[in-house]
Order: sequence, then C-alpha cells, then structure tokens
Amino acid sequence: MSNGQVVSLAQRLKARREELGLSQAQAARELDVARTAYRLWELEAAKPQPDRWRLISRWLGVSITTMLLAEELDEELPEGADLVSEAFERVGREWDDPTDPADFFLRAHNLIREGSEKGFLSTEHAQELLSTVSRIEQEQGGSDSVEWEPTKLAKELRANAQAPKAARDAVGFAGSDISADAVQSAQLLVSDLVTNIAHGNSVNNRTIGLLVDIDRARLRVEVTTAGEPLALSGPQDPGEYGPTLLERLSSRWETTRVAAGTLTWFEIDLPQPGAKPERR
Amino acid sequence: MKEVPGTLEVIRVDAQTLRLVGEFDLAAVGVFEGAVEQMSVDGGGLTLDLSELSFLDSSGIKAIVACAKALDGRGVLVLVNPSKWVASVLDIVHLDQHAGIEIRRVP
Repeated sequence: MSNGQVVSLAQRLKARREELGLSQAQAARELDVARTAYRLWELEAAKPQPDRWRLISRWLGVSITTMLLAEELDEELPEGADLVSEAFERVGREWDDPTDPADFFLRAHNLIREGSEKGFLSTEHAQELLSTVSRIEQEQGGSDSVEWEPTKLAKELRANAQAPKAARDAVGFAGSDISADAVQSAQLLVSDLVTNIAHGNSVNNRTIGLLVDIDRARLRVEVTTAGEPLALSGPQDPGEYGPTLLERLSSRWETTRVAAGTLTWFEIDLPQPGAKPERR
Repeated sequence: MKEVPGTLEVIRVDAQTLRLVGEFDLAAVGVFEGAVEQMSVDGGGLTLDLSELSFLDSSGIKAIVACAKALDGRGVLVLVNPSKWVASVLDIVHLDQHAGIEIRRVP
C-alpha cells in the first residue's frame, strides 16, 4: 500500500486480514459480522453499516476518515435489495439469506446487477465487480467447467412508453452470458408483453413486475401486472402479431391469474451444457 | 449513434426514402408516423431503409403495416436491407405476403 494512493475499504480489509493470517470467516468473527456480510465487503458488493465503522477502523489501525476515503457510502443499496425482495415476493418467490457458498455467489452477482440496474453502480464498475466475483468463485470452487451462473433479475417498471425499452435492457443485462439468439428473442417477446400492458394502461402509474430467470436449461421471463389478463389468449386479431411471435420464438408460454393480478411468462430453451456457445 | 429522445431516429434520405435508425417500439411509433406524414407520396410508393434498424417489435410491425395501408394505391411500401434478425421477425409475421409491402434484401 503506497502512501498518497487512495485505497478502497475492500483492499484494506483484505490486506489487513492477510497480514493477520486470517480466513474470511475468522475476520468476520473478529469484526462481529456474518461471514456473508464480510465477504461482500471484500467484494465491494456491500458496505459496512455506520455502526461498524469504529470497530473496523480500529481493526485496520487507521482512522475512520482514512478508512472511508475511497468510499462513496451508498445508503440506498440496501433499499435496492429490499425492492428486489419485494418484487420476488410479488411473484411468490423467496429472497432468503443464503448460507450455501454457491448461493452466496449467486446473490453477489444479483446484488451487483441490481446495483447497476438501479444506477447505484456504473456499468463499468458493475462489470469489474462481476468479473472479480467470477474469478473468486472459479478460484474457490475449482470447478473450471462453470461458464456462467444462474441469474435472477427482478425489476419494477412504470407502465409507460419507455417500459418496453427498460424491459429489453433488463433482459439484455441479465442475459449477457448466454446465447445471443435467445436474448434477442426474449427481448422482442418481453417488449411486446410490456407494450400490451403499457398501451392498454388506463390507470396512471400502473406498475409492471419483471423477472428474468436464467439457469442452464432455459431463459424464463415473467411479467406481472395488477388487473385483467393481457389480451393474448382471446380470439386472435389478424393484426396482432404478439401471439404469433410468442408461439414461434418461445419454447412455451402461459398467461394466468395470480393473486397480484395477471402473470404472463415465457421460456426459451438454451443450448445444453457441453455444447459450446455457438457465437458471440 | 446520435442520442435521441425515444428509441428511433427517422432520417429523410430522399423524396421517397426514409432511413430508420435504432429501435422501433411503442415509444417510436409517433416519431415514425410524424416522419411519414411529412413525405408527399405520389404514385411511386415509399421506401424504408432498415439497414440500421436494430430492433423491431409488434408496435413497429403494426406501424409499418398501417403505413402501407395509408399509401392506398399510391405504390408499394418497400422495406430495404433489414438486418438478419429484423428479417427473421418480418418472416415470422409473413410481412412479405402482406398486400402493398415488398421486402428487398440488398446483398
């Protein structure tokens, strides 16, 4: 650590921990925090709460001011996590605190993506963090066959003319590691679904819940909205291209009533593991 | 690409040709319709250069079909040089078989 250079809290924590010859778990114990939280600090995916600052600064042997010199403490990131959590609940999913290491990395990925989506992190910063997390996962897991991790991205959109573009961007962001064909198809379909809601939007400020869920087998997109079903399953107006595109570009899809209103989902099967990604 | 409000920029190339640049979705329909209205189409129809159109969804398809209908006998609407992806979307909805629309792929 050279003097005069701004050192991030994450770098300080790691350097100090290594200096003391501690594991992350041991360091977490010394700082009286959950191991997950400590790991996120070192990954720069989360920041310590202010009530921890004094203890951490003592442990690092620097003043609080010095410790936080390079930090832009973002009070809103936890709120971002709450928003995701709510969005998951709306579609009947759990956002639980992972104890499994694999979940930890998944969660770290999602946190970073969410931070970027909400504008708390710049795209460049997010990419940097994602590659750091991936590298650490590779090193820890030693499973070199891992090309990408399952991804879930939840987002709430306001039903207006900009919603289709926002939905496409979310799909593009979550799908940055998978087949470009699948992402293109999903972007078209999500754009149409969101358009149907935004266009038939009689109530101002209606919101659209979007969930992008990617695992090894398929890309799944869920669109939820309060109110009546989207006019997709009814008699098909020859001028309506949405249903034709859904049939042709998705592997399967459905519109159902749920407690929150209407859920429309579609899935696109992905090239199976073992098969190399065909192109970039 | 120039930043424009919305997702699509419509450039007038000549008296009969418009170039669509960007993404054609709900937010772009008004921009497209406005640009088409400015064209005084005689019997020669209208050409849309799609070479720089990166995205097209049902809103855009509907607007294109409406534009072809509005020509109403004053020639056909020619869609020129769509990207591979946009061309495949046009194929799925059989736009090439639509009355008054012709798709031309420039090699």
